[in-house]
Amino acid sequence: MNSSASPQEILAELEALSTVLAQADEDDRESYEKAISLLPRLLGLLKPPPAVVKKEAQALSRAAGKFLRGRRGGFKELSGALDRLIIALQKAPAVAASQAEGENEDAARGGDTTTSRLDLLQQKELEELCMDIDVLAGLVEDLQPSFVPGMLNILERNLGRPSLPRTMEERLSSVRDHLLRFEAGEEDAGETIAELLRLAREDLASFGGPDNEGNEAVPGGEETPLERELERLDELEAFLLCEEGKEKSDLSPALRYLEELAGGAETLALGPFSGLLSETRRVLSALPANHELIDHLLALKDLLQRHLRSLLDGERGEGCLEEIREILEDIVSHGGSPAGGKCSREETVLEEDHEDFELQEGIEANEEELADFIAEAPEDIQRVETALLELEKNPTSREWLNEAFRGFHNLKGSAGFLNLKDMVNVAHAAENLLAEAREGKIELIGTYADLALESLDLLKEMLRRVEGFKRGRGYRSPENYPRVLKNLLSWKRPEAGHSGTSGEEKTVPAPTSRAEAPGSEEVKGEPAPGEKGRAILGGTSPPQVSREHFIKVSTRRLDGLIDVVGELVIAHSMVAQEEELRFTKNPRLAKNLSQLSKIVRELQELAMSLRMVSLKSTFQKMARAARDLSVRSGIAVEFTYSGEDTEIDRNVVEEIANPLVHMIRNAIDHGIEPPEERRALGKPEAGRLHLRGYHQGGSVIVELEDDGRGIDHEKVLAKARSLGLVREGEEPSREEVLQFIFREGFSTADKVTDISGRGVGMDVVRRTVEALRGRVEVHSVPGRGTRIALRLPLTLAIIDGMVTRVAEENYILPSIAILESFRPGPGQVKTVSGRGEVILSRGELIPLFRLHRLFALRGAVEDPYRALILVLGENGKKCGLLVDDIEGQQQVVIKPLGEGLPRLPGVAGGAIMGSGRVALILDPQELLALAARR
Amino acid sequence: MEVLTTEMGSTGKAGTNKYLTFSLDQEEYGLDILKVKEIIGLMEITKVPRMPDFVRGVINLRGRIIPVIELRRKFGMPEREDTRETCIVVVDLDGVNMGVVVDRVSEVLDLVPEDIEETPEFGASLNAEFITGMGKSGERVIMLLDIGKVLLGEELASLARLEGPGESPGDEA
Repeated sequence: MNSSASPQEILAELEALSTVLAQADEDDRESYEKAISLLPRLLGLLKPPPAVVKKEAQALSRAAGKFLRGRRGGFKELSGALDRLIIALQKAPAVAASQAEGENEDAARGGDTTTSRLDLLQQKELEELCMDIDVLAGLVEDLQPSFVPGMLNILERNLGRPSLPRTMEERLSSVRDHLLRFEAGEEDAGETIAELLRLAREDLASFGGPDNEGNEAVPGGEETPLERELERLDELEAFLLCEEGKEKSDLSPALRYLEELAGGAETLALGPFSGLLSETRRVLSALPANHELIDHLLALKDLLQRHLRSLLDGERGEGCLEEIREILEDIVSHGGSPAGGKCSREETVLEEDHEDFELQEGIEANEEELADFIAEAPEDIQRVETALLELEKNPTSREWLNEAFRGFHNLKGSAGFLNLKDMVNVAHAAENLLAEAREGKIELIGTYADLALESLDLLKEMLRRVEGFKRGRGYRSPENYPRVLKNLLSWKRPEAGHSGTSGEEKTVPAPTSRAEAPGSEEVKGEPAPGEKGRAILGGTSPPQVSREHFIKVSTRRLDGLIDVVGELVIAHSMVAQEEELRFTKNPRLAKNLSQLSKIVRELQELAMSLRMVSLKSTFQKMARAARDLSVRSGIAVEFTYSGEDTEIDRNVVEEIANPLVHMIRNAIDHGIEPPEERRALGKPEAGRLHLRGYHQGGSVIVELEDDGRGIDHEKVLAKARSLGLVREGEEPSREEVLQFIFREGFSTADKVTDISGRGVGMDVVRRTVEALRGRVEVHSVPGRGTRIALRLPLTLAIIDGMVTRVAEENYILPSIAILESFRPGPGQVKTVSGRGEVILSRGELIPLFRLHRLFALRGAVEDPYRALILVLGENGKKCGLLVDDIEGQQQVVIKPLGEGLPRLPGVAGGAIMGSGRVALILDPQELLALAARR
Repeated sequence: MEVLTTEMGSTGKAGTNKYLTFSLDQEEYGLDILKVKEIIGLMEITKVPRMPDFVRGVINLRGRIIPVIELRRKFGMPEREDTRETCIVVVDLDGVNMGVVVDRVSEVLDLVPEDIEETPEFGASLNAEFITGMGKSGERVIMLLDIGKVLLGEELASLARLEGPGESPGDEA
């Protein structure tokens, strides 16, 4: 390491130069030359730049370069940079010295392959950004139009950084806007920009930029190794997870890291473990680089991280030491077969230690950790659930077994991290159960499957309570926790009495045979293992094959990206439609333009696809729901699904799970006949339920088909008559009759069960789907079955809209709500005294509302015969809306009208039109309600 | 004074605050610069129906839709044609962005606490509640606005009333 010049030396040199500059101005040849003669020496001293004033030093070098090349503004910038460097040096010579030492340490460690490259990169980026902002600030001091292009370049370069924080991006882009306006002569933006840059600079400092004052405030260097170690642990995790995805992984860097850890154990308050750590490394390096090893390493990493964090918080970090010891010893003594080794050991522990059966109350964890856990745990739960369900069909599948195992293991790990003892215990006990299955002692079907699923449900419930805890409610283990845990631990003799697959102990008389010996034929129509399993699996393949790499991105950023891309598309179309460009005679320009259009289009598609998720997890949840419902109702069901890879907007997916459960309930409760009846009808004993997802004309259809008795048309009609929905003598069409099942409180069920029959379900389905701007369609053939299809929009962000014009404003109505549009013929519009206007269309009287009256707009077409009528239909009600004209149909992105305004009745949001203007999107339903109130 | 600085948000290093000054008619106002996100030229504003008249409408700010408030109307000043100098100051109120239409933006002004005096009693005058103090710079007197109060306080209340059953601000055309 070539040592830096001492701060004093540099200071002296700087001051000399500064005096020269202070007396000079740019035109002064003499001082200019003097400065040039002084500069090289100074720059020599600044290589390498002292750590603490690195930023200033680099800015100075940069300014010097400019100055030497005789660029305009270089002079001013140089003296600015000089001053800053002087100030920085004067401020902290002592810090400079200690920091320089820190650098040395860093350099010494540099040989490690696992050093945080990512982090260095970010740090580097941050520094660059700081430098750039300083340069910009320098330029702004005496802003000239000729600087603008260069400044814009600098801005663009930084705006392109993927890791740029949102606030920074906003500041920079508003700097850019000011610059552009300055260039256009519209605004003297110097001060505003300078201010913005100053703010940006402050922000950067708070992000840990080079002049992070926090660092300076810490007197000793003690914190640093810990923090560095924490970062390295993150690196380790990333590395491990990355390796896990590979077929052949090389874990040696991770093991090397362990060895290092052993060496540095003292500084990390891991002193007692030094030997144990090396031993662990030795044992681990003898093992094949498989998932188990990675699991071990990950678990170890989690604990270490927790330990270090607690050290950082100023605690002694003893909390996790025991656990670290445990896991290390575990690895060492069992040579990496966690299942066998661990379970037998801990099983005894659990059985002896009855404390663990006690309900846990309260959680000690910080917000962030909890949030992470709540975000991640459902994934693991889902993973386990799928695997367990698959296992039930195909009990010998090792892949699914491992998958379930891993899921439980992850849950255990992350729950352990938060000290959720109850979750850890359950997950652990479930792991043991799986371990037995892995060793071939049991098969995960029948009672064992129930047991595993029951523990999973318990974990779900716990997770729900953890969420509740985060929202401020207290945490208490679910009441059935001790019972389930006991069952899990004593699984060898399953209790005859245990019933119910979920936590809620509804006493539906459980089919008694369920508690019999494992492996016995299941009555409830679960497909016999192996036999139907494959068919049911459909396209599902064991999970490892399709494992992709994912990163977690906050939805805010994602939405931000999508917004920006939307803007880009609009800006692009505005440019591309420019006459000059459209009819350009320059072939190269034309070619480049078309290339640009293509890229923009691709980018847009990609951005939109970011919001899309597959229906898979929803379908998997439904598989579970169907299983439970079938068990509870005693109706045998074979549930299959297809098209689970169909993608749909993330928000839509979240919404449809509930309606789907209602549909499945309905089908099982009312649709599918009891086995005897089915046998008599010549149908297979187990009712078939098929859930399907597919695309159709810009919508996604999710439909559930059963082969049950179908909807009894007569019965529905009779019920409708008895409720007064159909008047005597009226004969509604088949279609219309089927729509009645969606009425609130409409049920033809003779008896109300705990599952359905209250007439709520289908109403929920309809309302949810309509809220998503979708539609429900029912097809039913008596005796053959029912098919209910949910027609859903591909995305919630985009609607297919009809652009209308009223006076000078454009309003957009969702096309799906428009039944027809026409220009009224003479006499079609009638005034009803006191009750407004109606239109007579095909013998039907439809109330008419004028949009311009509703919105109090001036300058609209008053004569209805020169305007257009849109007929809107919602909930079977029709209504006409008078607008001036229709300008066309187009897809628009829905955006909120800004948080500053409250939600306006009748307005669903705004859309940015091709012209860059905002047009309001109307909500037909609210609009009608509004109109009705008048 | 103490109250003042806290109300004005974060203070500069030496106790100075920076204010963006703008004018409405002959009056000069100041906005805490930290609340100013950017200044943009007047663009086409989409009217939003059923809003109080000081809500001039919404604009597209680089893909985000934000409401725009006509400060003249808000302060009960006479209407005026837009000029070349009319512009929109976009303010950031804890993440909520709003535009404010002003006649002209002047400059960024440094004011030390000594330059700021408490708002004199205006009697029943309406604007005083939005004013946190009077800044002095040479001969000029600048009214320092609590823009959050201007935009959010009364605003939301009156808009919320709109959602009630007996609304309808507009006249039938």
